[in-house]
Parts: sequence; C-alpha cells; structure tokens
Amino acid sequence: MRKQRIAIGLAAAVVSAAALLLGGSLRAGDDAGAAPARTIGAQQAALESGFTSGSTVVLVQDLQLRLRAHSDQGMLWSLLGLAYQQRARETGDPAWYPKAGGALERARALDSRDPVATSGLASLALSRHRFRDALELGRRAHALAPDSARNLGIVGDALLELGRYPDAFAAFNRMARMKPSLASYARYSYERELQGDRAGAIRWMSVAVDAAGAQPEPRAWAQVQLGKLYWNEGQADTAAVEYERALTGFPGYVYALDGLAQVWAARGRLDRAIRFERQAVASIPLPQFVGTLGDLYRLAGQPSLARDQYATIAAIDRLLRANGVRTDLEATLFDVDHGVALGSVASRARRARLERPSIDGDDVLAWALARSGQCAEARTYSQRALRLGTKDAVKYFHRGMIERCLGRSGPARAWFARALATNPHFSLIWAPVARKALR
Amino acid sequence: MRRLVLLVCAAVVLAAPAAALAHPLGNFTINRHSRIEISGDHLYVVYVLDLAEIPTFQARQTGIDAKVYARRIAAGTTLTIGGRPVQLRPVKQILAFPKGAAGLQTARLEVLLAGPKLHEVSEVVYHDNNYADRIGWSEVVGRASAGAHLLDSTVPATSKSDELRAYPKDLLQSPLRVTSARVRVEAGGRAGPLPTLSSGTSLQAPDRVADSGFTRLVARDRLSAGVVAISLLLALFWGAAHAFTPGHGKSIVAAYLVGSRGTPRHAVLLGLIVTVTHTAGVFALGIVTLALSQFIVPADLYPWLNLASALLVVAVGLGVLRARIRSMAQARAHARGHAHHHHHRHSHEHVPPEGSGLRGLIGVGVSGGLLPCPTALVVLLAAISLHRVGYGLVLIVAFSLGLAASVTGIGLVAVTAKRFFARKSFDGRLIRALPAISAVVVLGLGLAMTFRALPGLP
Amino acid sequence: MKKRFLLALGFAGALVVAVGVAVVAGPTPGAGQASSHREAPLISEDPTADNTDLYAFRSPDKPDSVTIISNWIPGEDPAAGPNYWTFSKNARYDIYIDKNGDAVPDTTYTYRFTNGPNVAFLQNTQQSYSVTKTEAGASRVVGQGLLTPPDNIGPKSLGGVPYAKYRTDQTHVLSDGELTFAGQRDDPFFGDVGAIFDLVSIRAGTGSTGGGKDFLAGYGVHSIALQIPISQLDNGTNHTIGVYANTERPTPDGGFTQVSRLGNPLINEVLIPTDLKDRWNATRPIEDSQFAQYASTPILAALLNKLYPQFGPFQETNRDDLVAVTLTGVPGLNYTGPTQADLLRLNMSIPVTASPNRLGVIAGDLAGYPNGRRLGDDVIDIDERVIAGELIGHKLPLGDGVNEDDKTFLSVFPYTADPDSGFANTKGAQKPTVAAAMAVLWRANR
Repeated sequence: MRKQRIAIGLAAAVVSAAALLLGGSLRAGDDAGAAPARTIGAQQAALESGFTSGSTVVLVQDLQLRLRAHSDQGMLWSLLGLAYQQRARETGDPAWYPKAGGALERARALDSRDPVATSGLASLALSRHRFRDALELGRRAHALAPDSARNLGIVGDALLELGRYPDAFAAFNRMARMKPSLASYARYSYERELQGDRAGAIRWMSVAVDAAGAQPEPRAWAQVQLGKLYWNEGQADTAAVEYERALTGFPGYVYALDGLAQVWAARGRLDRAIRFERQAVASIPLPQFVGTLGDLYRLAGQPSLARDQYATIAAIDRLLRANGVRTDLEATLFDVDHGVALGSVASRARRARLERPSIDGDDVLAWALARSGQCAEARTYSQRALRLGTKDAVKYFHRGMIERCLGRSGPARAWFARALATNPHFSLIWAPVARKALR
Repeated sequence: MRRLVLLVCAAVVLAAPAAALAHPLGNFTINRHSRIEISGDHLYVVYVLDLAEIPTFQARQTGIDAKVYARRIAAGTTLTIGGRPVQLRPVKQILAFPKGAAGLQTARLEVLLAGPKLHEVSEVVYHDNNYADRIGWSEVVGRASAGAHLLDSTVPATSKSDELRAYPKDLLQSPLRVTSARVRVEAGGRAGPLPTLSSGTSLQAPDRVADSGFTRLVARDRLSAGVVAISLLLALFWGAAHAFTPGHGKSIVAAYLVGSRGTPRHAVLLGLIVTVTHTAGVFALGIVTLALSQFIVPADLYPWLNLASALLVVAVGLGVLRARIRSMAQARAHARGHAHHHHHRHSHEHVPPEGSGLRGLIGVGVSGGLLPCPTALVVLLAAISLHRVGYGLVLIVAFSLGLAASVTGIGLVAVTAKRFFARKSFDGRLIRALPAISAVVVLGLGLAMTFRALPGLP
Repeated sequence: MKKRFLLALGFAGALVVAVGVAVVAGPTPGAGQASSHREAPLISEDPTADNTDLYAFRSPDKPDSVTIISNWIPGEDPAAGPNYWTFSKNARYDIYIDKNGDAVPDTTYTYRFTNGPNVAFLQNTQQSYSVTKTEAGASRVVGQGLLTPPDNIGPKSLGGVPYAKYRTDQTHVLSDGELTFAGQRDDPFFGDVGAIFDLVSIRAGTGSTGGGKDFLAGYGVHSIALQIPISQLDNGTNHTIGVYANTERPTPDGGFTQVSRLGNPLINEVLIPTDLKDRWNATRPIEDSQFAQYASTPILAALLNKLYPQFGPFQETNRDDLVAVTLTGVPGLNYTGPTQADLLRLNMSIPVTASPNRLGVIAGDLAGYPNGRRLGDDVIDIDERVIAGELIGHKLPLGDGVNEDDKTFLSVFPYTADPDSGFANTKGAQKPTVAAAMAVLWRANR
C-alpha cells in the first residue's frame, strides 16, 4: 500500500517534471498572425540595421505614424524603441529613455520573445547603468538571436563595467569576428586600450572612424574617442585635430567641445578653454562639463564663478539622490577630487564600486580611501585598478599619492613622474600637485 | 505586540516620503512655448519659458531679473509681417518658481510680447531663436480672436503641453522641437483685448505629469523603512484577499479537513504548510524561470504548473481514498469484532486511516500552495531584476502569510463545523462514510483541475 | 506553546533581518544620463559596406562584352555635407564570377580604396584605388593608382569642370583589357518603396498603370562598374555566368569577414525572414541551400493570400519556380546546374534587345531580368508578379506604379547617370520627407 502510494506520488512527480521540462521545447511555433510581421520584416530589418545620415528624426516620425495606424505591430514598437535610444545619443536629452523603455515594453508585451525588443531593453539598461540587468537581458537577446553581433556588444559592455574583463574581451572578439563594423571596432579598440596597447587602440579606433562613413553622430563619437586616445598619451594637438573634425561633421557636439576646452587649457589659453566649456554647459549641463568649468574658473582666478559651478554639481547630486541614485561613481569621484564631504566619501565609494566593480571603481575607491587616510587598503585597490596594464595617468597619480601617504617617497615620485610622462595635463587640479611633488 | 504594531504603523505614516516631483522632461531642460495671438487687429506673442531644476539653479546664481529676461527673449525672436521684419516688445512679464525635485525649484516665466497693428490679410512668419542649442521642449501655437480669423497656419491652435504645464506621456509623441510658424491671418476691424498671463495656481503649474512610468512598488529606488513597512502590510492583505480568488485549494482544504480527523491545530498547521509551500513554490519557480529564461517565458510555464498541481491533487485524493476505504473496511471488521467483545474498553481510537496523518496533510497543503499565482511571481522576478532580492522575498513571505491566514481561516471553519456535527454524534452510515466521501471530493476536484489544465497547454 | 512561540519569534527575527538586508544591501540603479561610462554605438549602420544593387548585362553598345555594375551606400544625399560619402578604405569590395555552376568563384575582382588628402574645409572625396584579379587561386594586381571622380558636391568644388569630364577621365583600362569605373553615380534603382512596405498596399489598384512615386529620385550611390570581354567569361557550354558582389571588413585577428552580399535583387528584403538577415549577409552563396525553403515557401505569397484573397489564390508552397529563379537559374534560360546559390545568372548567348522591355523575361524580353539584370529592368514589378505566380500560370498585372528611373541612362559605359549636384539639389535645403527617408532606410537593408 505504502509502496503503491509512493509509486503514485513518484509517477505524478515524474509526469509534472517531464511536463515542465518538455513544456519549453514543445512550444507551438509561429502562428499565422506572425506572417504579416515577418514579411514586413524586410522594411523593419532595414530600419533595424540602422539609420543613415541623421534621418533618425524622420524615421521616428514615420514609425510613430505607422504605429498610430497599426498599434499591434510589435516589430515597429521595437524599432521605435531603438530609434528613441539613438535620439538620446544624438541630442543628449535623457527624456528619450523612458519613451524608449515604454516602446520596448509594448513590443515585449506583444511578443515576449521579440529579439529586437529584448536587445533594445538590454542597451537601455546599459544607458541607465543597470549593468547586471543589461548582462542578463543581453544574454537573453543573444540566445534569441545568435546571429546578431549587437548583443555580444551589450554583453561585453556590461561585463566590462562589472569588472569581468576576460569574459568581456572574449565577447568583443567574437563580436568583431562575427560582424566587423564601427560598433565592434570601437569595442576592440577599448579592449586594446585597457590592456595598455595604445598603438593598437588608436589603429582600430581609426578603422572605426572610417567604418562610420558620413553618418554624423557615429562618426563624431568615434573621432572624439580617437581624440581622447591621443589626449591620454599627451598628444594634445593631435587630439585637437580629431575634436575639430568631429565638430565639423556634427556641429555643436558637446563631447568635442569639452575635449577642445581641455586642449586649450593645456595650451595655456584659459579664456578659450572657458569659452568652449561654457558652450558645452549651455547645451547640456552634464556634471562632468560643469565640474571642468568650475576647475577652469578656479585656475583662471575666478573663485566665485568656480563656486557657482561646484554648487550646481551639488544640486545635481541632490537630484540624483532624490531619484534614488546614491552611488554614482562619477559623483563620488568629483567629491573626492574636490574634497567634498571627505568623511563619508570612502563608504560612498565602496557602494559605488559595488555597482560598478570595474578598474574605475577600484581606482575611485583607492583614491577615496587615500584621501580618508586609509592608505594601506587604498594601495590594494590601486593595484587592482592597474592590473590590466592600462596606461592611465590619473590612476598612476592616485598611486603616487597613496605611496606618499604610506611614507614611501621613492615609489611616490616614480609614480608621479610616470603620470606626467603619460599625460602632463591629466588633471586641471592634480597635475600641478604632481609637478610640485617632483621639484 | 499590539503596541509594537501600532508604533510601527505610526512611524510608517510619519516617515512616508513625499512623492518626488522631478521635472517631467528631465532636470536639465529649458523648455519654450510661443503662442501667437492675434487679438482683433493687433498681434501678440505670449512666450512661456520653463526652466528645469538645474538651469533654474544656475540662473539664480546670477539672479533672474524677469524684465531682463523678457527683453532678451524678445530680442531672440524674429517676426516678419508680409516679409517686413518687425520687432516684438515685451509689455508684461510674470515669474514664478514652482517646486521641483530634491527641494530644488523650477522657474516659469511668462512674457507678453506686443507686435504691430495688422491690416486686412497678413502673412506672419515667426521664429523663436532663444536657447536654440538647448535640450528641451519647444512649441509654437497660433490663434486668432476678437474678430480676427486664421486663414492658414503651419502650427495648431492649442498646445500639446498645456503651455508647458503638462508634458504628454504618449509614447508616440516625440518631445516637440517646433521653433517657427507661418500663419496667414485676416485681422479684425478694431483692437481686441490684451492676452492675459497666468496667475495663481496655473502659474504654479501643479498639474505636471511625471513622465517616468517606472514607479511601481518594487521599483521604487528609495526604500525607506516606511515604504518597506507599508508594502509589507499591503502584501499581507493582498495575500489574504487573494486567497478568496479562485484556486489555492480552499475547497480541497475544506474537504480534506472535513474528512480527516482535523483539529484546529491541523487547520493552523495546514495554513503554515500552505505558506511554506507557496513561498517555496514562488522561489522555486522564480529560480527555474531565471535559469530557463533564455528558452521559456514564465507565462508559458503556467499551464504546465497547473497540470502538475492538479495531478498531485489527484494522487493525494487517490491515496487518501484508498486509505479511507481500507480503514472503513477495517472499522467494519473491527466493529463486527467488537460486537462480540462489547465489554472491552475502547482503549484506542479507531486507527487513523493512513493518509489522514501528517503525510496526507502535507500532500494537501502542498497542492494547495503549489501553484504560485502569477502576481506573486511577477513581484519576485521584478524584485530580482532590480536587485532587491531580499525585499522581494520578504514581500512574498508576507503575501504567503496573508494567503495562509485566509486558508487557515477557512480550514478552521470547516473543522469547527465538523466538530459541531461530530458532537451531535450522528452515527449513520452516511457519517461514517464522510471521510471517504471527502476523499472522493478531493479526488474529484483534482480530476476537475486536471481537465481544466489540459486545454491550457500549448 | 513554547515551541510555537519560539517558532514565531524565529520567523519574526528572520523577517527583520531580511528587511534590513533588503534596505541596506540592494545596489541601486544608476543615473539615466549618458555619463562618462563609455557608450559605444550599438545602432550604427554600415552604409559604406552596404550592397544596394547588382546588375549584369551584355553591353548594348559593345555586345561582345558583359557589363557588371555593383552599387553601395544607399541613399546618398548629394547635398548632405559637411561629411561626404566615399568608399571605405579598410574594406574589400569584391565582384565574383562563377563560370561553371558550382557556386565557387572562378574569377574575382577585388577593389581597395585609399582616401585622397584632406582638404581643410571640404574633405577631398576623390579616392585612389587598386584592382586585384584572382583566378584559380592566383591573384595579381590588374590596376593600381586609379582614381575615382570626386563626389558631385557642386560646381565650385569641381573646379568648374563639368562632371561628365570627370567621368570620362576616370574610366580606366585594366591589364587584361577590361574597362572599369568606380565612384559616385546617380542611383539607378527606382521604386515606390512606401507603398510596397505599407503592408504591400499597391497604389491605385494593381498599380501597373503608373502613378507611383520614385522614392529614390535624386539620391546617389557609389558604384563599381566593370566591362569584361565575353571571351574571358564564356565556358563554351551554356555560356552562363553566375555573379555576386560582397563587402568584406578586416577583423582584429587579421582575416576578413563578409558583412554584406548581393546576387539577385530583393531576396533579403522579400524572401529572407528578419531574424535570419544577419546570417544571410554573412553567408557565401555556396551555402544557400539552407535558405531554399524561403523561396520554396515564400511568406509573401501567404501574405498576399491574406490581404488580397480576391486576386488569389497565390500558391504558397512548392514554389519550384522561385527556387529556380533565385537559386539555380531557369531551365532553358540561364540554368547553371543543381547547386543552389543566390547568384545573378546571365546567359551571355542571348542577344541584346533593341528595345528593352522593363518587365524582362515575363514580357518575352529574354535579355532582361531574371536573365541577368539591366538598369531599366523593373525588378519590383517583376518580383511582385513572379511571387504572385506569373511563371506558374497565375498572371496578375501587379506593380508599384514606378516604371522607370527619373534619369536617362547613358548609352556608353558606365551607363548609370551622373549624380545630381549637391549645390543644385534641393534635398539638402529642405528636410527629407518621410517617404524619402523610408527609401533610404529600405535600401539600407542588406
């Protein structure tokens, strides 16, 4: 009797287990309703593959028109979501992100296995710095569409920010083999840069610029990245050439304006630097621009204007925290650099690093610990930050400060020298400190 | 304990944070709206400038002089009438600082710009060149009144944003970037009234709609203690209420308890088992879903889970029925045996039929809680995806507790009713058959569940 | 009782701990701004690698030669400065010719471009290029240091030289006597793209009476044209060649990956499902049997049955006719053998038609598509009719209403019309229309 009951129970269990497992593979295939969507696939594939010469605005209008007429076309919603994300890149206006999210969620509600919607949601998660979400969504998108290189890029980006470099590089390598393009070249270039191969990074970013063709925003983006590569190894004039090219092709591109401001500061022309940075701030007052403008004012001997900028950063910080963002890495770095609330900065840096355990997270924590006097622990994190062999003057400088704090003046000087040799203008505030320490 | 609960509730009420009123279009935007107003034979432009939190902050560092701003805005417009350039003059302006997020303010400036007198039919071309490089909403509308008529216009008559008070949430509406308009107007015969600027509440613009759409319960980024407590209570009540929706094996529980030697303690135990099973079921399903999420969508698992749960109930019903029948046969044999030894004291109760013991109880409890409801699963998965796993688990537990409480309640009712009837010491055949009948009911319900589950399979 | 109390206490304790953990340890989402976390593009297209069209025909003015034209970069707006379009200097642009029907290229022409010097305000759009010919595994350079014309930005940037002169100047002769040209041309493709992809709605009834809008009017492409003596290509048996073009980009490990390819027109747009587009682009034609089912069971036929049942029934399965047209050639016309591959097949023994019919073979003009493809062949109309069943007895006068290009083609090599001048072109002056953008984006799909 007992055996029988056990047998019944086991049978029920086996049946249900089998049902659960097989249930997935026994899913019905596409139903007839998918037919129109798949044939319109041609048009949508065109739209999905990208957007030419700044016609994203018109593309968006067109998709909106069509969706008003056929609001059940999941593919169109997905594409609208991608188009909105591209608008966010082009305009810098974050108002596009919730719209992108809404459109992609609509698409996913219509078809939970829509690979484009899943991919779009993954890249949206990246933009919102939700790297673990982006990784999960990216993997799912990759499983749904293994032939699409885009998702490998998303997965790699997320892994990078989570500090999982070997996996990230593997993803980028696969991506580049599968579909060499601006997107994969740019990522491969970053892979080289992170590992200290500057020549390789520059070479492949140049290939990326060429692959952008005449598309304004992608080309300008790649040119600015190339400019930054030159800037980071102290070649300010070559950097300026790339920034200017970016501005020619995409007038008003804020990242190029910001880059040029730094170049002019390096050339000793603070007036011009301030003019460029103000232009960037007037277009969109992102914290990194506002902070740089404040530093420029400070250097130019205009402390009250500098204070205004720093106060604006504090206001931005308050907004971030009101929106639930307590652990922004950039905000923490600003505070450490400018000596704001140093008492709590170490714990804030720890939390920020939890969200983003990349070498940048390591470095910000190291710097925060150093300025809080916890230099032994700081040194460990600084070593982690430099473990890939990245040639980064700012990280070198932080290490120098840590060594000095630990009383090791020899190594400290060596690190300061290394930082200045890499990029003599690595920081408006701290490069002078390094120079002074070497005298 | 009660005092503690009261204290917690009070703390929750006091600590509840105010809703964040972030600027709907983003904290960095400068938004502009021009209303071309032809009143009678005069042309005006009512210009609204809406600065979000950060631009307001920056502007207030150097001070906002409304008159200076009005002049600058006027200078930043171009107007041609019939091809002739005309300068707009600021006549009146009003400035307010509506509340924004994080204790910061936004700024709303309205300026009445006066244009020239119009004659008969005029072609008006307007450009707003202010803040051209700045992200934000820019809109132009055109209207005619007091005897004037619009013959043709490239812009609508009414604002999509209620003049920068309520930005539309429509997914199919891009942030507007309209900065110019061309209208053909037939002027009225005489002057019309001056357009008015906002005042009072419409100037404070309290109707702004936040555009975020991501503020669900679990998605709240800021989890103050108050929020957690409130949401736990909500989850508890939600679970309790949820028990009364179809499913969750209430009938099965009741039937089982009627048939078994159910005591109130059994009812409570059953409730606890349901809680544990339900929670465990949600977790398990959540884990399985996440692991299989590349291949299977949660919604697809439901039909199969329904089936599994139904089959389990059938199994339990079968087992219990078999045990009951056997025990009834034993009882009859026993009674016949007793009939010959009626002077013996009954030193033992009737052997409890196999299956009405703990094992059967567990079986019923498990089947009752096995099928996690979709809502609970969604809450858990959302929590996981937002890395609020602990919070999500806690919500699920609270939910399950509420659920269990209801189920226990029903069970208690069943047990009490049975006891009531048992004390009446009916001793008919029907009563003696009741345990078996309840087992049949359990089995029947299980079969019904199975048949209901089958069509739902893909 | 005690046990129960302890149980309840334990439960409550666990609850408190869980709450505490949840509140403290949960990492919060980050800002919604694109801050300094590096955001490389994910939605960028690759226009300079995008095959838009492929043509192959016996040269009307030199019937002993075959002209192959391959176009890239969809929807070049001539007035869209300050960035101008050129061939990519890191890519390989290839034209493959299969002579014996095994889908393995027998002759390959590979073009590689380098940029001219960067003039300060206007980028110099004139490029220098080399042509490498590969036969039987051996490669040799058959042209080097050849120049393209500049883009037709406007009269000033052309230095007052008429564009036609650039075109004739930059037509070159390769080592084996082939003629070649590379550079910007007017896009010879024509079609009412908006109507087709608005759920295959066909303007004005069945549309064959004209009245459609050529969405590509005024736009340019970058073109490579080759004119090869038939004697170099003829296999002596069925005189039929199979042609395809592709673009390859370098990969960091030193190789090249195909990122785009084209044989027959409209395959990727009309037959291949969206989720296979990327795979199709990366596949060489010799592996095309994996896609045969999409020709044999065309989704578009099912759609036509759904949308226009009054014109049906349209055969949805066992479409051997489509498989033939796209993958093997049509027996008796341009059949190359059983190997399935998406190649543009030209039977070079069929003479040039004096007055070509835009509908090609289905109108009795055997010198037109699908026997090769001429510039004037209306492939949209032909494809619509063929999918509807023209070759299997179900004839409908379908069409998009655009029957010819807005420009007159040249009667001499390279046959495509000179591109519109950016200066004269009004496109840049006004915002591109929805329709035009649609066309651009539609062409971008390859």
